[in-house]
Amino acid sequence: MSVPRFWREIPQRYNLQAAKCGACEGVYFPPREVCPACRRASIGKMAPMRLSGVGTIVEWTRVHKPAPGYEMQVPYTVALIQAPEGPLLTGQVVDSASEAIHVGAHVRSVFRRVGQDGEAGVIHYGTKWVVEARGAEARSDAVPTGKATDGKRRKGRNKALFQPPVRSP
Amino acid sequence: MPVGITSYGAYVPRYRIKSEEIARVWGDDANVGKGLNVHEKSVPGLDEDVATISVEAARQAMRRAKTTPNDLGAIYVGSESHPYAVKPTGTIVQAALDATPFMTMADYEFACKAGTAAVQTGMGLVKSGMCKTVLAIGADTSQGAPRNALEYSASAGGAAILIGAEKKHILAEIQHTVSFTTDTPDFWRREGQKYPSHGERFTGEPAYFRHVREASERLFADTRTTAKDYTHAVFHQPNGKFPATIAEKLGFTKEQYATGLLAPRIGNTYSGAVLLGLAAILDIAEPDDSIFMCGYGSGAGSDAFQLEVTRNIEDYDRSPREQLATQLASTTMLDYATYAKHRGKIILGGSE
Amino acid sequence: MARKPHVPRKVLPEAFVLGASHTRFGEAWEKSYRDLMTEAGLGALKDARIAGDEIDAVFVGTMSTGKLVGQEHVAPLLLDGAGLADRHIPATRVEAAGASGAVAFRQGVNLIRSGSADVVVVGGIEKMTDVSDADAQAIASAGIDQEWEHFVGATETALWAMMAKRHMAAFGTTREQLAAVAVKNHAHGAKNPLAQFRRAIDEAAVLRAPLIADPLGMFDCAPISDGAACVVLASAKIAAGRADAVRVSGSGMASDSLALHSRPSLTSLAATEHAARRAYAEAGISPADVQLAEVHDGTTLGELLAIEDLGFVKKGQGGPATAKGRTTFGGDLAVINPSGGLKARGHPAGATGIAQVCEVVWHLRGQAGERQVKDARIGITHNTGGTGATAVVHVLEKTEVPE
Repeated sequence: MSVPRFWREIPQRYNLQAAKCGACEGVYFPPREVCPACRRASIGKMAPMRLSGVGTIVEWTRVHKPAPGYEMQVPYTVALIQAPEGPLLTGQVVDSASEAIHVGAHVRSVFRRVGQDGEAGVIHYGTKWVVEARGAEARSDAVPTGKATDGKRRKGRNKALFQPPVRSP
Repeated sequence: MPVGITSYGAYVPRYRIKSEEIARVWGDDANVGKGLNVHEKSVPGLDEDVATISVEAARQAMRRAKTTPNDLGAIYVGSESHPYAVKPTGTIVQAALDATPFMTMADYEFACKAGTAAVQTGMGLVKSGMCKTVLAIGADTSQGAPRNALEYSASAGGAAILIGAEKKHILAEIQHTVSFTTDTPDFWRREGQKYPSHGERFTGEPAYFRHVREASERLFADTRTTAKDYTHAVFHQPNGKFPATIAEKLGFTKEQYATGLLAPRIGNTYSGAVLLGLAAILDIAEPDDSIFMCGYGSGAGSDAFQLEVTRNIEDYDRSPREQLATQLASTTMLDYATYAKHRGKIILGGSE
Repeated sequence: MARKPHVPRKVLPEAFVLGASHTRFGEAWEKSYRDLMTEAGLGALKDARIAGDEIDAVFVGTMSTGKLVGQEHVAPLLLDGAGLADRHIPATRVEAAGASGAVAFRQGVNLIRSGSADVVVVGGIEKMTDVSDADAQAIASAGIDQEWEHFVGATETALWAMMAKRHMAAFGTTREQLAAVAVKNHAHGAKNPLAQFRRAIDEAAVLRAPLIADPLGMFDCAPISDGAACVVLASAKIAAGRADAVRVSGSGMASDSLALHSRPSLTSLAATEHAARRAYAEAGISPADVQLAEVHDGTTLGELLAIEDLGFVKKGQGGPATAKGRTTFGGDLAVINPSGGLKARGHPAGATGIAQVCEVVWHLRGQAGERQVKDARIGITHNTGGTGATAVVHVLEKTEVPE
């Protein structure tokens, strides 16, 4: 990934900066310019906000044929993670025992190397996820800033679309 | 005006390798770890480096702080294994904290004492009134060449120390600091070299012991204290043996230095070592406890500190989930092959 | 004011497939990108009994020539290869990841339907073995969200794998039922002389294959392939009197979020549902009218989703239907992927959508040899890109074009 392409997304990659629709309070990650629920009514009302950095595994897989740059990590775990604010995210789950990785497991974000432009190029940092130890309180890595953050659950269209697993017949 | 630690964070990667496992691969005496008093050492994850360790430690410090990242006036990251030779680690920490861009910054390198040098710089900036709060970090993912003695100890970890002058926020006041520095090449890494070199037995008496002793004795003299006046003591710990030896020579008892001595379990985290030891002490310290701390960096220099814990520590979040001990209790043991993979000692072929 | 989406009526002029040809799919070490396209193109023109001078326009569906062979701007290049540069025919390249071929086909259909052209040649091609396997895998994953899926470690197969696990959790789909898709498609491919893999496999072989992304193994995934396919589309005026003309009676296309994590459902592809609804409406058919379907089985789960979302079975019933043999020869449903599908015929990305049309055309004409679907009158093609952000469905019918 080229330097400017990576650089312009540092707030999203390092700090899970999302966008919140001022009209319906829907939260989107990665941030959107237009809310798909409110469309025109949302233009100019999409405000940056940070996700709390906790979530729940909705589904996961162990990858044996890696994406470029992940060769040393195979097999590694990729998961769909439901953030309490509303968005579903794709991310890598690291540092977690395989028996701890399951649908419904609580995860929190950690700061890790995500890739690099070869041995001589820039290093790409970003967010990965670890399974919270059993019984551990959910902990947010979000650091208070002057910016608007909001832990309220989002209303809007996509709220809790991905319910934790229920085995239906 | 007092100056002191207003918050702190610590991070040690969860992976470990046992000294016996390293000895097994190279046919060394299985007791080599016992001799060094390093039974296992921490190993970074495949996606961890000094920047990620610094960020994790700094985020914990900021999470527990009464100040915000916008109050930071400077970030200094001390390390001998910065991910870039040219390009600061500090900016990555700054961005990950979403901190104000109106701050000054530089990365530090002074072998294992870059972290304490960062603390001293922070004290100066805060005391002078130039900065409200300074974040000082010592972190490393140091490497020992395969089969080298260093391989038994060189490990990974780091600590972040927030330095401020607001009395209501100071957890531990830094009452005094003194340094002793000479040109003593006991350990070095030339530009472009992957692994450091060292002077073997030369790293002992003329290097570590002399510098730690000189700085410590000067601190005692300056503050009119002796070892007996301190509740806790922590020294740079290239292994588990050196700090115990110097501590006892200076008159400290095992009881005083045991809490901060982490090397037997995690190895030598270089720039992180003495600050991680301090974090372990602060995790259990009580108001009015006095702490003696002395770092050492090859090349060579020692920074000694006198600290006193305040009542503010009682309101500070030291619940089990925030304690270093909790982190250290959760580990994943690696065999040598996996360790070699983690440390980039396995080279992938061209077809990958 | 919200306006109801346009559902095209059956429009005239209609488009007909007059010629169809594709190269053998597989590892074409001795053939270049240009060689493959020329071979398929000449084959289709010969089959259609159309001369180069009669061509009004050309579309080429190809996914990633820039990364795979370093060449962009391939549409004129391919015409040149066929010796037609001096005809100065408008030539357009179309890209929609794995659905590039079908989208190109749809451009051709639409051009004829618009009345702007009488003869349109549509090619599809990919030459994937000129790069390493790892590079080919990475390029094949370029159709998923690069910033927020691929970059953070997800491959296209990893995303399909998570959909498979969701499908298993929601509907009780089993690992063996997924394997049944591969077993069936290999059995079909064994009878297709142009298929990459012409051998039957058993369930055990699928289950013990190395994992790509749990639970999907190597035999759950389409291979890396070289190949080109080409069809000739014509208006009623040109097709008049041709007994072997095949009518394109329905064309539907739909899109969705590129990233899987932005979609409301992980167990169906909304784009497939919408594309199918539009294509069926145009053709005035329902799935029960269909004798064969070429569907996008980039993974075994892909075929299960396809037969559900295309309406052949109820949601969640894809696994049992496949395992019971309902989707193969002699089953009570349409024969799904008589060609062997992407799994066994091979999946040279841009060529797949066109090869699907070729297969249906051959069945409707009764030219499918050993694997001929009996009494085939209506067949459909279903081609998707990425994890389903693009889906294209076409309905093809055996027809008599009035003189």
